[in-house]
Amino acid sequence: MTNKKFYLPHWFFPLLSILFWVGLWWLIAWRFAKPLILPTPVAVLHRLGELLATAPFWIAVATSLVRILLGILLALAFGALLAWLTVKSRACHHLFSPLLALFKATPVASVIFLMLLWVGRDRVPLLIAFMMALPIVWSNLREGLLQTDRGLLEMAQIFAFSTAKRIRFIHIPSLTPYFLSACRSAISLAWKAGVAAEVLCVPQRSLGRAIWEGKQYLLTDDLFAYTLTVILLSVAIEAGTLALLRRGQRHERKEEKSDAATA
Amino acid sequence: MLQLLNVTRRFGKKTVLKDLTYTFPARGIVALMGPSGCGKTTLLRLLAGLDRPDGGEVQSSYAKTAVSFQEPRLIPWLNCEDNIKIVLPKGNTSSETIAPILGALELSEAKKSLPSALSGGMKQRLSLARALAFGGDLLLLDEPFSALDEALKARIAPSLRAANPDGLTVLITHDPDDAELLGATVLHLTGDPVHALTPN
Repeated sequence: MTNKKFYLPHWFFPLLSILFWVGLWWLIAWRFAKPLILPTPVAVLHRLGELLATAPFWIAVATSLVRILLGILLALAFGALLAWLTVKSRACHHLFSPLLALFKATPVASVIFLMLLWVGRDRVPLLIAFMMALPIVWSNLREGLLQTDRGLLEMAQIFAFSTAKRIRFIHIPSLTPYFLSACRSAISLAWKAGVAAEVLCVPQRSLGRAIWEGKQYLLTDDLFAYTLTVILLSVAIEAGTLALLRRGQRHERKEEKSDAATA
Repeated sequence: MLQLLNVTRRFGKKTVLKDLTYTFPARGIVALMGPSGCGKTTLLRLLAGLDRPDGGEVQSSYAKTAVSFQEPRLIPWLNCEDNIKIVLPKGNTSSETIAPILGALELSEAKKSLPSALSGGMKQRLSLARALAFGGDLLLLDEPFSALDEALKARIAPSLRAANPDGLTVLITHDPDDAELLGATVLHLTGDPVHALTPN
């Protein structure tokens, strides 16, 4: 008798889980039969299919994506700069640390309304995404810099590494796990907060405005379809970013091996 | 010339080296010996310029210092060959340049392996190989033989003896046989805190 093991594909259980929850949603929607309160998954998918064929939907997706991703990119740049400054200079650490605590503790809704007063509705989502992502990027990269192996840095000092060589062969590889972790947390949080800011500020041509209109005019199918779009985009952005970073990391490792010879 | 002039080094309230004055020979091999924790590594770090004395001065006229640390301090994401190439000047990094050093330290087979795949002894030999390849005229070795068996020590000793003929090699060891194997002049760190280096 042969003892063959049967392996399920890795996506089997996640898919089963999604089907379970969608099934439960469908059951509840069907049982209550109030599509204005809770539409069925089929109705939502049907509405999403209709929206996908319209230009305003894609304009809203593109505008929201650009606004919020720009905020996240700015947070990555400023977070890296602040991490470096606060590790290098004790004075900078004392100066900027309260700002980090403030960003972490301030309720996002209060900031959204304040920004609305100060900078106008179109810029709020960008700034909110920036404010949500900044503390995560900053604290993760700072921790990464602090955890860089001192022994390796002393070795680099003894063997007279140039600054570029030290950054390339010691700092960047040491920081990569911290950067990946920061991206994973910051992107999904900033994306959700950015869309929340859009819902509260209702800027023109945005997913948030479409969600707000869905609620305002009781277009529940639209509300669910746009929310589903936000969720799918969040998953896609996070997966895409991590895939890009990992690919970059692999490419970097290959280059390091060949460039160690010429560095 | 390598000179210690009234060197004092403290860590908090504990004084490890106190008014230590000594002039090392310009060339040759010197072995520093003393009980654990007496300040050998502290002294080596001062000689390497990785640490500064709290009092006194370390004067060195050597142009290039190479160190093999007690912990190998290898770059974990580079293979053996690349860990050596990275300390070499541009234009001198061909595999042919590195092959004799790897061969002398019996690492040729592992040249494409990452440090994580090496044993403790191999890591230490790679750290030695890197210091030898760098080619300083002041070579500082912190317990270079501690993870090696006797047979291996005997095989790689000639390479170490010949590594720095025109400069000074200072090594730390607990084993007088290691010093003898390398033909080193032994200096004992004496006193508590250490205030003198006394020959055997």
